[in-house]
Amino acid sequence: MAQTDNIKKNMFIMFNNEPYYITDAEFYSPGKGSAFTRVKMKNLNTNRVIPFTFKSGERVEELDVNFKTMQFLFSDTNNSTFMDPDTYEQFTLANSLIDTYLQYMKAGSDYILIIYNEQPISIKFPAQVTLEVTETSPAVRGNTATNATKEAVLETGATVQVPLFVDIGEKIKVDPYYGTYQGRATE
Amino acid sequence: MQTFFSSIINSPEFKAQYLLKLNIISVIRRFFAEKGLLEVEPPILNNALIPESYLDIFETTEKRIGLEGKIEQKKYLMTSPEAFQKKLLAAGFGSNFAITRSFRNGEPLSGKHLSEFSMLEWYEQGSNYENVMQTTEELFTALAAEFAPKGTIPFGEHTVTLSTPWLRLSINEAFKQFTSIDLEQTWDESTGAFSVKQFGEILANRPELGITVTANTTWEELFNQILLTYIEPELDPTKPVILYDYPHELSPLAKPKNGEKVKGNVWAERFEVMIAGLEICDTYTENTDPNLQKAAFEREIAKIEEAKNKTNYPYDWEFVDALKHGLPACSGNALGIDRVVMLFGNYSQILEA
Repeated sequence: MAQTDNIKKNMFIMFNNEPYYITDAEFYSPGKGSAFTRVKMKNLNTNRVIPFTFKSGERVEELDVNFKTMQFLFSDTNNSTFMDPDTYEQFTLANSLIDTYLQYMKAGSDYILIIYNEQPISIKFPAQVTLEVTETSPAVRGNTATNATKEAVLETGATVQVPLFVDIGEKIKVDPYYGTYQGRATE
Repeated sequence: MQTFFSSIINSPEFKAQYLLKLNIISVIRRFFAEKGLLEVEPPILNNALIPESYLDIFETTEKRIGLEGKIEQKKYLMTSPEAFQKKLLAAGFGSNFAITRSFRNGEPLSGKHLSEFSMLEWYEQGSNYENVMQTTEELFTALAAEFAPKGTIPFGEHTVTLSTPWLRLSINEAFKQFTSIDLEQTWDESTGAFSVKQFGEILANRPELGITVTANTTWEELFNQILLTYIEPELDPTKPVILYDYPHELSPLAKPKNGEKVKGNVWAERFEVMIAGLEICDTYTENTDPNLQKAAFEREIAKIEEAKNKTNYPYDWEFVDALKHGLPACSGNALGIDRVVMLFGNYSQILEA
């Protein structure tokens, strides 16, 4: 059990007998004494996002989830398939639950999946990914100013804005949540 | 860190939002001057404030030097111009308005609250809250004429139509419409108060709402939790909504009225305007009874002194004296100017300036 005073973004809870993922949480006081935590939460069975308001200090059941590193194999229109490297067992996760990260996933790479009841329910995506630039206009040498940008396509198909000096074949670091360039990868 | 100058120089959006705020203030001022309300100037620094247990305040020290030596005295920043404006009403100044900064400590960290914010408060002598509903609509019509000539404004993902009259929905109708709960069934006539036990019994039959009731839960928490979860998100975001007749227990300084089916101080003549999820203003038909005021003062003081985390301050008993002297029948509206700026400029965050 967890106290909702601790309810935060990215937490997994059981609510009305269904598993939910907290996508947004905000302290709220309507100005007459009591305090609340307003959340947006995603039902992991239906993918529907609903608003809810918890009383401050209200007890909710936190989901007993595990983390497991798995290899990403491929995605189709609706689902992505992963493999447990220990058992070679394959698991699927709905693309809607991977959301914006999907475009930064590279086949053959390892990702941390969140497992509940022995099934993946979400992905714990890294805050930064390193990917190769496969398409962009020619680099402007010596221009290290970062305020001028151009479009670049990455090896996973994602498009990001990069500084003018970035060239095809270079590896760059990207924040996958905001889709922003973070720098050249130094290897 | 002060960032106003660098923001106004470097961010065209910041500058535009700031200019819009100044223009909105000038339209508001013209509107009330044309209506014949007296503009008044409430003091920011005060020796005492009216007790409001749900607010935290700013305290400072005044230092003065004279032949007697140094004198130090605690001062408090006003949380709203209400007490001062009502004293003027009691002194015979009549209908009046104030556009002023107000100060509240301990406000939520959100894009919709500031510790120092711009507030419009006006009082209409001889009016009740229904008259003020109409004045509020007229004020928005005047603002729309200036800032939204088409009568619609984009706000976030919605287009809001400001044309009047606005939808009016009582709190209990809203509860019945969106949750099939009749709050009057939670009124206990034997104690003359809302009963958390009766509310809990109703909720026990409605597990799908996901509202839990424990030994510490209060009626007010259940009321607000349902309002925030099942009512506010369901209101039409493309039209302003006037929510009216709030529980008197939560609005002790508003004029009480009976319920439809139950008797007692069940509802308060109070309304709030919600536009696209933004709470714009809060209005009461004001309580003019000094005994009710004194009782409300004492309840609030008990709550402040019970809560250990709030700053204690001297209470403005002169306000009760003003009511004894005679506050004429009146209705007042407190409106957050910064929220109006968000609305007319389609800004998702309040301007920090």
